[in-house]
Amino acid sequence: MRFLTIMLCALGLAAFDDNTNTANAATQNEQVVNLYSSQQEHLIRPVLVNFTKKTGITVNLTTGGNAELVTRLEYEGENTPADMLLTVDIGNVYQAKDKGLLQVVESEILSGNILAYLRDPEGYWFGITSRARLIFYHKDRVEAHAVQNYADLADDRWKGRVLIRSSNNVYNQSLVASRVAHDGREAALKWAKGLVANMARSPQGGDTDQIKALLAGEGDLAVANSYYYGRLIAGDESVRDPKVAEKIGVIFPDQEGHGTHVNIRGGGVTKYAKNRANAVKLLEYLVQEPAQRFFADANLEYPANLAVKANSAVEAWGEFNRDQLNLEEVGKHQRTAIEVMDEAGWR
Amino acid sequence: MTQLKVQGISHAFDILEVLNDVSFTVEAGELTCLVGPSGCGKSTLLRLIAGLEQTQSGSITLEGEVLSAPAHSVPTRLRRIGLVFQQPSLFPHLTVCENIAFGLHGQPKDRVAAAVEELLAVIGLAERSKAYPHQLSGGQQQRVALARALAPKPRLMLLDEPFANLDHALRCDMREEVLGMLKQTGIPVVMVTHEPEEALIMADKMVLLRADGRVHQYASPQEIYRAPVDAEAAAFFGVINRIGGYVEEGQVVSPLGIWSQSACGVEMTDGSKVDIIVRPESLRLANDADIAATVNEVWATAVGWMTAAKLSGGISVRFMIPYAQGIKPAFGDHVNLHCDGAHIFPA
Amino acid sequence: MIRSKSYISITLAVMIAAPLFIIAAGWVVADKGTFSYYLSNNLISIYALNSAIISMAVSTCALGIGICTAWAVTMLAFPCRGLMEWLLVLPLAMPAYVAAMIYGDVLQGAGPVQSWIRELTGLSYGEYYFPAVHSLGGVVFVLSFTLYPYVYLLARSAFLSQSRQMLECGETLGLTGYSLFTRLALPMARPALVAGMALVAMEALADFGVVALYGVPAFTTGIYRAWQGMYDPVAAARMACILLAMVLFALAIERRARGQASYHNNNALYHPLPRYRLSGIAQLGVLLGCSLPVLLGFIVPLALIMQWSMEHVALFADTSTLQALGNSLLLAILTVAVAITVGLWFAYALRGQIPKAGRWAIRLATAGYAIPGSVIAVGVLLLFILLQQYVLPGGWLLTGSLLGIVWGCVLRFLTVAFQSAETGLGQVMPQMDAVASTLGASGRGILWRVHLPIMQASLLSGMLLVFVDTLKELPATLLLRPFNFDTLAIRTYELAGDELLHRAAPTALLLVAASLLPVWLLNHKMAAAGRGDVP
Repeated sequence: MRFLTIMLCALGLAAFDDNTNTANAATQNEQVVNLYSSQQEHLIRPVLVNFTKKTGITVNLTTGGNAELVTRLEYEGENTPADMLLTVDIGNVYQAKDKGLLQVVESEILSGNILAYLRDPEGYWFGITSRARLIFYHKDRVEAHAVQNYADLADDRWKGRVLIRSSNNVYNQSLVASRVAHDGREAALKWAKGLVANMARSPQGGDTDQIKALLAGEGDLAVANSYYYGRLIAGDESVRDPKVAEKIGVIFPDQEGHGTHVNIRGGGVTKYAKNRANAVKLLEYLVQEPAQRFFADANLEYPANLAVKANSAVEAWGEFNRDQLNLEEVGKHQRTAIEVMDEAGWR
Repeated sequence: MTQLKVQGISHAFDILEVLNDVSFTVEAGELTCLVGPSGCGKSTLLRLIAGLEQTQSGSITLEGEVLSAPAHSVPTRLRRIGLVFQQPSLFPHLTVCENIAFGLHGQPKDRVAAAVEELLAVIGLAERSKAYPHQLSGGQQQRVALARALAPKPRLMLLDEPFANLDHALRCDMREEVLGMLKQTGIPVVMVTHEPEEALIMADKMVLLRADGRVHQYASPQEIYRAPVDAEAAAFFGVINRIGGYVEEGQVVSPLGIWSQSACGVEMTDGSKVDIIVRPESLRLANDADIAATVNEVWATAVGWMTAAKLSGGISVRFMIPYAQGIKPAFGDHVNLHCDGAHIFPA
Repeated sequence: MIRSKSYISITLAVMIAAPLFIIAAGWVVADKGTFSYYLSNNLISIYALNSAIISMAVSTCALGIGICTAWAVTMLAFPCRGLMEWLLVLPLAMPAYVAAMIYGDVLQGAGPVQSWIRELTGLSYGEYYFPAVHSLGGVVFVLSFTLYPYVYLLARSAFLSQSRQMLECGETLGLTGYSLFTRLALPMARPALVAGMALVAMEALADFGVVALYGVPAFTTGIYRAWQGMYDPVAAARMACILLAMVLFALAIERRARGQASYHNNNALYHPLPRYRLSGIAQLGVLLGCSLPVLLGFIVPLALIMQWSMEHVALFADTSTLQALGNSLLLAILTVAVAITVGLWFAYALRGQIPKAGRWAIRLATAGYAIPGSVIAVGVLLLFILLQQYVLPGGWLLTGSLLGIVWGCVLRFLTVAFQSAETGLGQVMPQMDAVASTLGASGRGILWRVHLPIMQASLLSGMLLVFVDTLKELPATLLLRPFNFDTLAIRTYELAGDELLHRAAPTALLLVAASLLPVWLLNHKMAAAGRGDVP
């Protein structure tokens, strides 16, 4: 038993040693902000480093899965160390708000820079970047204008030719949720059933894999987020594939209708933030020029700040109409969307 | 001086009584054998003496010091009692040398080395001192176990069927060897065995236990041989002839002859039945004898022909014809027998 | 004294298993409708079926591979036998999700293999047959070839420890080659084989990475979906309970197999087994047969990670990468220390007299192996939140210390540590205790001077397995780590999750490299233990 006690002490010590920064920060009144982020470290850390350089505020970061972080925040309640939550996709942002984990922030900088439909009308959450869910086609096998709307994906013409990933994926959940929000549950279900019938293979892999499979001829149409395509034509050398640029075409769906479904990565200040002011500062920093530039270039997403241009490679695909429905509405229908997909047999 | 004093020990596992009011003493330089049917608590008694089992009633005293009494127990490690099991139970991770030195832990190195060397010489394994147990034969392992128990100069040795796993020849050698070693040290010894021969050769005293855990007879082996308290005690030393008889006019009448009733030790009324025990070696051929018998079967043994013969009344008896006599009985031979002595008990 | 010790054991077991109790409380708390939704849509039965198929198929395949290779390297003579003996252990160092990620990328329709086939034949996709890697079969393939070393290691020890006399006896009774193997060697090794198979079955049940990557609906993905998609931890907890029941069932089978298993001959003198000589072609066949699992389970994925790493060499020197390496090692060492201490404590508790409730508490506390890391993580998380609310106010416990992450890992891998402690303790005959105490050794003296040295080999094997497992552990570490605490597995997962496989390669490579030394030691120890060289 004594041995065990010693072990536990050693454990505590090791922990203390490793986290002196965190532990001391609170006592010495050093400026800090604690961040839960489901955005992977390599996509956020460089911005945080610059933020610290500029403001002297230390950022403690924990990354993790979307729901994991939200659940953690929920269970931690008042005791949460987190001052700010950054997550991916409206589905997750909405959950955080719905569970009362965020607080209202009123800031000229935030409301002035972020497009209205990319932020909460009440001020609980703010989008930092946006991405569009696009349809891609193989130029050899599909006419450029043969497909124009999401609805076409459910059309008999494309039986066995559509590539799309699993319904576990939140991007698909939000896409379906937006259809529920626009057209109602029944119409969305009918559409999902048509789509499932058109699938070229049982859903597998990530968005990149759908585009690659399209290139390999496993299907004629693929659904993926804009930046995955961006990476394949303008990203890191190890990811880039010149054949994609040559053979794969982009379709911005629903240009005549509601507009293309866009989603965000974003977040807000937590309800029980102990360093609220610093959290707001960080949020404001994230939506302004240098940070927005980094997001636009490092991950080829669309900046939420209209004043900042997208990466030139992304700009080259052209302008498009975005679905202006406030994302709040999409978040509300997330659960229905999952039920719809289950019912349609979308794996 | 009385070394070990076991007084009124009773012991039960749950409701199963294995020892019942057992008392005996062992003097310095004496070897006492515990014998009895299997399951009668011999090993439990050893464990009680070693302190491996908590005493329930009675007491155990060594050199005047109370080791065990209900609610009082000197821990095993402080008792200075040596213990050897049927299996050598050597520590597999230690060499011969290290095994022997185990109980000398904490003593100066040179003294340990000297003691180990001495014991190695006594057991004749000096050149195997660096060997591991699994590299030794069974006899060698048992010798090391003995040396290991002797090394810390115990006040008492407990041997639990120490030779049972060895083959016959080795067993005989080991008996003499061990006996010599133990007598030399003058350490009192308690040994469990079920070999009558072993008890005869080695024991100064014997504690004969019954299946119910009571002491059957406590005396020297010779005495038990000469004057067993009952038929079972007599039977311990090997094959016996057990025949029925009855009392008539103050005399015991049986197919093997007539004895005065006083041989029985108790007064018995006429007509009461008796058990008559005659050892095979007490019956001999004699031409002038009056007991007629017909040879039935013959076996060769180490000392002579073991012969079974039928008496006129149809009762079968066994007797020994030493080879020295130069007679080989054959099936159907008519012989006359003389009875040298018998043990008579009330039936 | 005995009583107080057994109470300590029970308390400790209940404490360690507390997160599981909290998860079980999911049945008490009202369902938000998700669970009944899952039930009514027949999803649970699909999950259960797939999980059962995966677990059974993987353990059967792993058993086949493990037995054949172990028999070959112990009983047959062929070139490079000594090298193969050790190479066959290597897949243990390859995290299944890394292998899955690589095979998924390489074998998919757009991958290099199929592209090459298309170029070679001029056919286009769909005009030739190629098995889909993103499928149940793919999951079984990847898991079998990365998990078989568990069976291989145990089977090899068992075969090595079988006495020559026994096999010679079999030969005089007319058994030869094949029948000697099937009628004597195999039945004698059965307890070890079943134990290995149970380990594999549990790993397969708990796997999340591979099934998620290949899009196969299983219990672990169902749990993930209930939580991540439906935001309903209660439903997730309920499904985890069902999974836990499946695990306890597998454990019961394993225990029964071991109960009948005390037939290893400790005291027999060791003679090296004679190895059968084979003809030249047969030798080549055996060599190739043995190389196949090593190639598929280790060398091919390793070669690809190395190739991909070349594109990002700079990442190796990155301080954050090195820090992640240090964190991984620190976490593994802490987990090993705690798990082995607790495992030993429990093994001793079960050896002595302990109330039945205690036995059950210990069984439960040591059943974590098959519970997905994310479920354990929720349990630990909830527990810490309760602690922080009622016992230790202030949020530093989880975010500022390694307590949570180590707790999670210990709960998950205690099974392994406990079982190795139990095996080790089984090698200590009760008489040895008696003898040692008559020789003046105190309780602690007996532990340090007799038990631990005798158990050393088993304990070390257990510790190494826990070490390697902790290095690879993913979902629990991801959720329970304090601020700014990155491990190799987490980095690999994040980069791979962002569909940047090539950038994930350097950390994956470091992860494999860090596992290599313990795996080598493990192999060495278990071979020595099998031969009976105690020291």
